[in-house]
Amino acid sequence: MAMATGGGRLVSHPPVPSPDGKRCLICSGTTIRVHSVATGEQLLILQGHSAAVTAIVIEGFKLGGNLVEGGQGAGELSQAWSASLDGTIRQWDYVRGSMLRTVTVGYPIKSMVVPGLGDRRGLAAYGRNAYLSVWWKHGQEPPQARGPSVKLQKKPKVKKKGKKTGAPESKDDSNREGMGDGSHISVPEHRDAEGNPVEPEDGKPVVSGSDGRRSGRVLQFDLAKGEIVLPFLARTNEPHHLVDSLRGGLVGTYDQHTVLVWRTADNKEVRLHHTKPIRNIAFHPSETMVAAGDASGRILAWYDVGALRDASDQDQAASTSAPDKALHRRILREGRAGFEGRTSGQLIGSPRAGGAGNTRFGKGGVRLGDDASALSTWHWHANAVGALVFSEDGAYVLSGGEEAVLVLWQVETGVKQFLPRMGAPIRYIAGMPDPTLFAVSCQDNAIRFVNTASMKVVQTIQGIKPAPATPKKTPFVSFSPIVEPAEGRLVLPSPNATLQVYDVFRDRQAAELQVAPRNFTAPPKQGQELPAVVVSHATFSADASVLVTIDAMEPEENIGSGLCLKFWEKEASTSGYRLNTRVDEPHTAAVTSLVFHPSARMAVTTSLDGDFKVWVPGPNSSARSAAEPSVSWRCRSVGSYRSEPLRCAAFTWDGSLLAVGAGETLTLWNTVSGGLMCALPPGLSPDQSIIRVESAHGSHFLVLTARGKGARPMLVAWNLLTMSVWWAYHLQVKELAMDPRSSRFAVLILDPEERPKAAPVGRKKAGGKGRPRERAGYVVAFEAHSPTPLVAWRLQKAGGASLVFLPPAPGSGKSRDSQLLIATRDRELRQPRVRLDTKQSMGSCRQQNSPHKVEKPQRAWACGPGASSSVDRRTCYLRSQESCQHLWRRCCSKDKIFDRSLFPDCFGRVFVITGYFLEPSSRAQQTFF
Amino acid sequence: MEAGDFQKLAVKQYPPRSIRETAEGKFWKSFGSPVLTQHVGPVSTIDFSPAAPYDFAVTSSTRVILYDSALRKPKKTITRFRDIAYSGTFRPDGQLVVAGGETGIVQVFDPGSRAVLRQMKGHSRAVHFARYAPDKTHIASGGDDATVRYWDSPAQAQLLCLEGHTDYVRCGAVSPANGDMWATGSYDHTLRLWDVRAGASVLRLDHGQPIEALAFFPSGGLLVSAGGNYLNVWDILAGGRLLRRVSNHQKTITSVALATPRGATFAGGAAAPRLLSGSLDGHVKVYDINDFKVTHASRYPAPVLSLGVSPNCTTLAVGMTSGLLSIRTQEGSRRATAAPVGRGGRGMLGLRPKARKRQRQQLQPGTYRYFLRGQAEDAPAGALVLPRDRAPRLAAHDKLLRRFQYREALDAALHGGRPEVVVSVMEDLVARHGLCSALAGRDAAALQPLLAFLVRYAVHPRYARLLLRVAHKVLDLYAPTLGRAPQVDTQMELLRERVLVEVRLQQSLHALQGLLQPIIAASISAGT
Repeated sequence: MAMATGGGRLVSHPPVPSPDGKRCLICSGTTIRVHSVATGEQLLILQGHSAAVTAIVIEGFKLGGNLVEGGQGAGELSQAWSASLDGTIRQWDYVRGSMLRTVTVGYPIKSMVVPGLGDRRGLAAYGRNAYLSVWWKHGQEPPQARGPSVKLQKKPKVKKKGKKTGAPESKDDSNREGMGDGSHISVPEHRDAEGNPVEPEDGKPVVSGSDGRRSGRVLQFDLAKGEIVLPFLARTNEPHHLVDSLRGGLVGTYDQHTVLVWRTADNKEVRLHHTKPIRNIAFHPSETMVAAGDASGRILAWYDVGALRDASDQDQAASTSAPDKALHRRILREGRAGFEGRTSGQLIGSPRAGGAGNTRFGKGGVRLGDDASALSTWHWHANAVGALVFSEDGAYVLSGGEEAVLVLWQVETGVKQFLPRMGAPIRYIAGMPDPTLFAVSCQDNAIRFVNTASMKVVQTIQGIKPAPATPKKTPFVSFSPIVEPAEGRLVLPSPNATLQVYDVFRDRQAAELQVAPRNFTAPPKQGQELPAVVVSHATFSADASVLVTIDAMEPEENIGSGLCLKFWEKEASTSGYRLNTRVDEPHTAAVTSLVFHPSARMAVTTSLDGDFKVWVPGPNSSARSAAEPSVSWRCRSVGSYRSEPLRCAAFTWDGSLLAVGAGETLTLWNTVSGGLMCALPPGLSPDQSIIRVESAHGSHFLVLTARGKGARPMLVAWNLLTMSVWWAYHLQVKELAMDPRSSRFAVLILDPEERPKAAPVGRKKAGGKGRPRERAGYVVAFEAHSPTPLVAWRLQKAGGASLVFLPPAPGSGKSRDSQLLIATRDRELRQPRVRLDTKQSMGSCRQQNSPHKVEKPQRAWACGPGASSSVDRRTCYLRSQESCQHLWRRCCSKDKIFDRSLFPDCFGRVFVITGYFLEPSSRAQQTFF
Repeated sequence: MEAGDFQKLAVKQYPPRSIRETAEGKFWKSFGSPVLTQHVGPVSTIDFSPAAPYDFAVTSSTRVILYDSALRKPKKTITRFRDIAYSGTFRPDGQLVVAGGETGIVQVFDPGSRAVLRQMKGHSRAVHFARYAPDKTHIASGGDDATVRYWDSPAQAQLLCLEGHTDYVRCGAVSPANGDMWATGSYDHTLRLWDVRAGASVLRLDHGQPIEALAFFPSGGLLVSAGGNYLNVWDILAGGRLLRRVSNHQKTITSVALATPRGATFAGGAAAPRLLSGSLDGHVKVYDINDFKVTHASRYPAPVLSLGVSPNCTTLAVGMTSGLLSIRTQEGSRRATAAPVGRGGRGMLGLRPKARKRQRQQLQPGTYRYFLRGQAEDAPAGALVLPRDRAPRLAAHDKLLRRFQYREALDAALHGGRPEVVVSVMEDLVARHGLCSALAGRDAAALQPLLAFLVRYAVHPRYARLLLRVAHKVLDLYAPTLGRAPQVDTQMELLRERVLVEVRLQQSLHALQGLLQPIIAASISAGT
């Protein structure tokens, strides 16, 4: 079983500040993270939801600089409500970290606002009436006002086992943490094998209904009573974010080309129409003014929304008295003239009015039939408006988008101020209690707090950055995450040719290194990707004093592609890395691997041009001043083997040999003399070529992966003492990670049962074309000397995932073992809960020593807690003592070669691993160590 | 990088192209650009006054011109010659000038009044060498009549006529160790050492070529003679042993000088003695006198006939056959020497500023100065100093890149003229996918600098990988417009020629590689 240990998206939903402005609540997957605004440190994690948390509303408000509690008692000072796709709303104390109660709604909630919860008068006027934007399935019974379904927590504790009231579930669900109770409405729960709920990227829950058609509903819900007040306010194509005005007067959302606005007092709806898809809306804090950003980058602002209907209502009410009616009309007319006078933005109506013949547009550019007095348009953004918010006093509008520029608009004049280069496209902007401070959620998984007075970023909460885009035209891809050996930090490639150094144990960014210093530039057209520079390889020396990187640039029309090999030296003063040597074009073709010697200062690059180069430091002859480093890196020697393209290289763990894969041949080189020791084909067909070679720590085994056209992919363990193949499997290995502290390694293989054609069950996606489909896969751990897998896990989203062995946490004194970490494509870090046990591995080592004498196979490998029970639904411990015995028998009996062995997989299906096993060759004991 | 900050363009750095620069090279590079003066005839002799301020006499045609070393301009011109003058040299105290000439008369002048003080007649033919002895009363001269004569200058009388050379005597020098020992070089390929006390030749050395110039080392133990395209260094104390033959010129060496600074007060190793030689191949070379290796060489526009170094080693004067005189002065020293002269001059003219005490002005409130008061004052110790929030200084191309004006940024980089900046801007534009738009849409005037840059650097090995592709793109873009603007056509033609030359070079290199490969392979197989 794997559990999330870190990472996760911080910017899927807008951040919410606490009323005192000291804390910031962030939706991160199924949890809510509470961060300090001043330091950016994480204070708390609120766990309890079983699906993604989508909205947070905080109770309590600020008046005149003093904090006033929202309710009766002082305990309500730090209360927040959170809504989730699991269909529940939970109340939290975000200071103490306790869950107070759970309210079940029954529909996956996309967005929630509680108007007036931040205002004393509002609370008095509207109560705790929440507006919810939910997923609604076709054919589902229409929501009705229901009786109370509130359950108060018996103990206000976060980690509490939930009470089972729903449908019977498999046993292991009981150890899920913080599972709420009261799920008597069957909310479809979707979890992967690790027991983690599935959250699709776009927030759409997985549908497995009859027809699967879904849409959005907006409804009103009383939080205090736990019942639906108004089951149907509007139907939308899909649920969007709900927005409310600061004083609680208006609530709104949008649907395609339409803006929907309700007045909270009487729930009267106003619809505003536009010609382009709306992307987000915002309300003026005090006036009835609505702003909306559209897909073309325009910002529209409607004035006096709902004023006409008010007037007509009053007309009807006062139809008996004609003078009143006339007076009201006059007031309305004058008011509207006043608005026209002050709308200084470009009026959209004027250029269009001629073409449309004044039939569709009324006065002030507002469409006929829309209830607003005037409309003004601001256009600066070249791409869609990503975020839009009013300042607290209503004098400014802040907007952001793909351009990564924060734009500050003066509402009265339309004058702009810019804060460019925010680092990544802007997704959300949230106002803070301090009127000059705004929290800006950026695409690079960072929340930046911007002071609009000084136009500076004052604090940043940085999560793990997303993986960089892969350029389509070039063969360069970013490297898989690696571990910095000195402090055990994870080093991940991130966009804009940056390496992010992430402290997994503290779950925060430790450092950042820009390999190729460039400014962020938005792509020229929307949707176009600008991959620019990709860091294709990176490796550390064993003491982390040297970092070696290779960055590649995507050419523009065949101009200017270039590889650059860079050597960075650690600076003792700042513990950062400083560029020591830059080598332009180290090879004439693409570089395929970069490895560092385990003890000496020596790096090796291999390339498709058939050469491998050995790089060593030497005296810097070209240093012109004392400030320049006295040592620079240079190429010591160049080697090649029959001018075969070289795809991989590895040093043996003691550093005496260098193994280089040349086509289907494995060549071994003496690292000291540089001479070729031997070249042996590791049992591959000529079509295949070795694409990865690694050395198992502390043992004489090399692990190779190979593939080729028309040949089956292979995973091979090769014994250096006997100079022969020790064992092999036909496996399509996507990722291979070696444990730097033992001879274990882990491979990631995609599920061979899942054919690309077969659409996954219930994964019909409207508009999901072109998106990489998530393939399931397995993570299998081996000992290098044994073909018996130690343990395996099923991974729901295996595409793009990578494996890393982390050194043990600094505080944990008892365990000396590495921990396997799985980094998914979404940059979520997961750690299998089962540890690989050293002692049991030793047992399997004994078994290996005498493969022919195995009479009764021992309990060779770790099964972990609970594995002895029935087949675990989510975790597949290749629980196959029988099948392994079978495997051993077959390889001992049938001429040392078997072709098909059966491994039961986690779903009781039969998962076929085809492999073969070769006898250790007779010319053993050829010593190279 | 903090969000909001603009990152400057990282300009690529390359290792220095030349081999590591020597201290000697640095020293000679510190000599500024030359002051060039045109004379009527070839500059045959340059002689620095041994006394400060080290004025120098330049002999050219029928004149001896005295130069002011500080101003590097002619101070006096001695024109009292009927025919071509030779060998205008200073007396060791710098008070008198002696010169020979085509007429065979040795004349002594007063450099101040330019008056002829003495005339010594005796040589039957032209006198190419005339020089005062260190005792300031005797003169030695040598002429085309193959004799060396020794004169008493106050008495205007010939003391000795030394015969022994069989051809023209062209040069001579007195030993710094002993004022009675003279060395003369002749076109009979020999070098003779004379002792005027004995009145006879004590040593005869064969140089092998007609001797053009001679110089004693400061110790007086070594003597260097120049003739043909080599220098011979003789050890006099060892009885005239040939110590070293130095051959670094392509043509006849016409002059040789030893720079022996006395006061070691100058920077850059100026205190080390050096040997300089000038040749008809137009080069002046500087040798290290320990191993006689060339440490520095400089090229001049015409064959070099004479050269001189000031005794303090700060001025180098080179005379050429075309009559051009080049004077180069070490930068730092010029200021140091010129300053006292200038101050003295002002003092004489009465313009020396008075040491007037500036009274502190009382500031009137409301004036501009009043508002600026105190800004230049330093913060007191212990005060909390807040650094001023200054915007970083950005180069022109950075400013334009920040505004996404790609073509203008490329133009600004081209205007700056640093190829590494241009290449860095181009690479940044590639990363932004903006290079093609920056190259396209140029008129003839805007295309000109780009083409000039490509002509110059497209085949440069450092930039070729990028620039050849850029050149291809430029050709693709602008080939249809060929023939409309003549300047563009010229540049295109130049580019074609550069590429052709490079292709030929590559072909010859390939041929060479083909020749070498079997040799290397054979040597490897032989080695194993």
